Amino acid sequence: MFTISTYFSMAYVLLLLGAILLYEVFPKRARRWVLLLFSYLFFFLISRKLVIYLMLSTLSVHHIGLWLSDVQAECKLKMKEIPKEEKKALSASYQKRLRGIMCFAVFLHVGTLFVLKYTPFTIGNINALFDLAGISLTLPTPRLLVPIGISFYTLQAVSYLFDVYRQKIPADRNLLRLAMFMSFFPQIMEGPICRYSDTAESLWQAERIKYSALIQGGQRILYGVMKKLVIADRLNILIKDVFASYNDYEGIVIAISAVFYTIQLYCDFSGTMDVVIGSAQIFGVKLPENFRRPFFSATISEFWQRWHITLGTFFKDYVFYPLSMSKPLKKLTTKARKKLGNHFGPLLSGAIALFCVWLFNGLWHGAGWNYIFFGMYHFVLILIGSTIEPLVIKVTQKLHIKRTCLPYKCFQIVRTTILVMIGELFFRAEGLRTGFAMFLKIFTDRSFAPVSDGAIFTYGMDKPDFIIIGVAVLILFVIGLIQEKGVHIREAIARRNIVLQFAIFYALILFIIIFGAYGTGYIPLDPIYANF
Amino acid sequence: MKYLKRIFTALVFLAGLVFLLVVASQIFIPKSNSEEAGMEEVNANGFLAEKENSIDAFFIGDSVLYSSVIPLQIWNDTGYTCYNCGSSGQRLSYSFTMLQRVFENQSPKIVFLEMDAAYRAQESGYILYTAIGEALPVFQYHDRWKDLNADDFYSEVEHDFIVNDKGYEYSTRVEACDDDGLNYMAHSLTEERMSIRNKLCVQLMKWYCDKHDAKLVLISVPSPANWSYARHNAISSLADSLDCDYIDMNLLTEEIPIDWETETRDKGDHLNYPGAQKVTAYLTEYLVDSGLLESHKDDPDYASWDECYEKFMEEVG
Amino acid sequence: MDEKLFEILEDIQPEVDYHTCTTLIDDHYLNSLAIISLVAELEEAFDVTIPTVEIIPENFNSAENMWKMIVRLQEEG
Repeated sequence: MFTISTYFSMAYVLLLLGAILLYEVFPKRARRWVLLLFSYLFFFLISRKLVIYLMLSTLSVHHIGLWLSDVQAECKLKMKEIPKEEKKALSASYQKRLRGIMCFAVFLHVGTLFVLKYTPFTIGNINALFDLAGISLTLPTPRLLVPIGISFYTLQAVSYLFDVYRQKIPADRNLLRLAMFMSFFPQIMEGPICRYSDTAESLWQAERIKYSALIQGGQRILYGVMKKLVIADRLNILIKDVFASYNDYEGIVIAISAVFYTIQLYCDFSGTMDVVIGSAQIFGVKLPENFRRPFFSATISEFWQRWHITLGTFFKDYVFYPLSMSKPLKKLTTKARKKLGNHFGPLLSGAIALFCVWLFNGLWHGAGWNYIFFGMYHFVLILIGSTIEPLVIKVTQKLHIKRTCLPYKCFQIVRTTILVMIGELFFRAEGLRTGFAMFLKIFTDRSFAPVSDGAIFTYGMDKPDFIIIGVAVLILFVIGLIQEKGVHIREAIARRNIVLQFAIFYALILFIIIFGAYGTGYIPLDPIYANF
Repeated sequence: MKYLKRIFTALVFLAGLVFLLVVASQIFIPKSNSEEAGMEEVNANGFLAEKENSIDAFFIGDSVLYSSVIPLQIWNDTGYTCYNCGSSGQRLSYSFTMLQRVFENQSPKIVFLEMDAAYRAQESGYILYTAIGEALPVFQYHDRWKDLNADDFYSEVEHDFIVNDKGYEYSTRVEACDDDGLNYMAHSLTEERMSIRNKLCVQLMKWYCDKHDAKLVLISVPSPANWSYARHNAISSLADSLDCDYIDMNLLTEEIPIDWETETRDKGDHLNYPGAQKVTAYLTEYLVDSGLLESHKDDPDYASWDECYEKFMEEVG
Repeated sequence: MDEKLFEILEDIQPEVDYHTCTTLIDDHYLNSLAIISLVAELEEAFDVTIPTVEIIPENFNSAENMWKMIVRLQEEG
């Protein structure tokens, strides 16, 4: 059967071309339906009958949104009618009702996600506990079919409802618009996680395709394909073997694989985002960016403002701030500040909120202890970073190191990158125990032999493979550097003459065709983020 | 006006792209059909180096085929020239590609298609990829960037690598078939459905053979690991609908008495040399009976086949 | 604008000129912990409740915007 498993398949190319063609042919009103149709077709092709989950979610979001909005309207109306002294009590009672609806909504949507994704993990752990306690009882683990993309659209649903609840946006009466927002096909499988205010209106407008958007979107798609086909897929040859049987490899090879995996993850995910955002751009929809050159980050905290940005801001807006600004934590902050001072005062409630964020973040990536560890790892790093910040400032001042100078910045960037790579080693390892074993092996098995005698080139990737990876990563680095300087590359290209524009397109296409890791002998990497 | 201009620009762009891909294909296509030159499926494609119109019959299929049919044995017994285009895990769209290549330089009177591949899935991406790869070889041979040399940039393609065994893969390994595997052809009335794609490929091949005045014969070589009566039924009906012969050697246990203890190299998946000899002997008889072919035994143009046979016999020992 | 606002800001994070800077959040002068302190302080000092919806970069990028938000919340409250 005709199935799509990635944005890098012929099937997606055909689907996208079909959508562009029909979108362009039909008049404005019908274009919306074209987009919705293709979105559902796409979702059907990746999830088959599980498409029902998406439909139910959309209906529920639509209904609950209106429900919230009706209660809010009723509240406003009543507020006008009653004397001032009763207002507070009335408002409080309505707030309680609204909160109740929100709780129900979150329970419904996040609950579905939780049941589908975490049941086997939970039952597995319960069984392990039973085993530990000596109870000879094993709960059966049900096999649940999880619709791909549920982790992404559920977060969009929740963000929409929260925004309505907070009266940031009005509830949408139009089911079509809401359905388009929930299901837009380029982003449904791997994000970015959009806010209603980001995309709903531009989807609804369904403007004609602009020539410049087509060109720039196309360039962006190609750039993403380059990252994925040339780098991520080629690295897979080594990574999958090393992570599958790390015992057969020396410490240095494991370390190299951890570095490679981080590069692969970045190229796979950000490459997908390039395809996704480029596709959306063609339809005149500006999706929020998910990456901003994360490997130029000075601190872990900054890294997470540049890597999977939409997930970070989701957690910041809907978990971190609501928690840290909740009444009990606010009180804690004020009290702690008086006793511990400015720096350590907010740290306490901040840490509590941060802990929740990272627990959710780890869990969101998957049901496994290694993901929870991954979350906790970053939680601890960020917390340590914030705690020792004043100390670092003092020390650098004492040592007369300017914290804005280039060498210091480079030191920060390298340090942050190494910390990230260690985290990704655990993230990729098959189980937490394996992760630790691999990490230890880097330090216990310190033979440099595989590098010095060239044995590393016999583990699946030969010398030319390493060279082309180096070249491609260098290209990425240079482009990143130019973007860091604030240059918008594709717009700069668009201003040049057509011959140069053609040449750039041709170069990119040939580069992908020749150096891409596809065809005989290559197994493409499954999209990493679609499974989260 | 603006619209026309854009369409024109797009066409110019596409023309330029195709031109570049054609040029790149010239560079990346292997300059010979040998392994060193970077050729894909060297054994199966060895016929490319054979003299024009010198081969009488072709066998196309997957690994069960290249383990079962020995062209040089047929040569020695009859003077007919055959080639075995079997490749590992061959899919039917590749079989069709193979058939098209065959008719570029050869005009066989008879083509045998082994049907094991009828039950191998073909993703749409794969079909598209093979088709594109055939038209623009740069897609297929792009990985040769690792060992391109100066020759690749100006030499013409010259297929000059003769595959001595004519596509047969010699093996004497023995690994007996489990007893419960032996009853694999228990009678049944059901048909195991073939995918539409695979059916279409066979239909295309039939049409292509008809066009070139060649007889297409469907065959199934003995293989307990791969065959069943339900598959037999399905291929029989397909053969009927296409009006071509179907030889299911899995049912011919008297004519081709395979000893599954000693004549398979991997527990009833592939045959070894003794098994292959029996299958080949049967097919030789079929070829003789068909009356379509003539012996080239005494033709000096075919002297090289005798040399190949001698070499093969040395290998066999 | 109230001097008290500047006092609070200086107290939480010196090293910044709050009279001119308009990218307090965008350029990471105020991190999330600073925001937590800041909100708690502002609520106490100006007797307002700052709901989570208001915690957006726009409202905290400059002292001026913070002040505007406070005034607005005071009026609404």
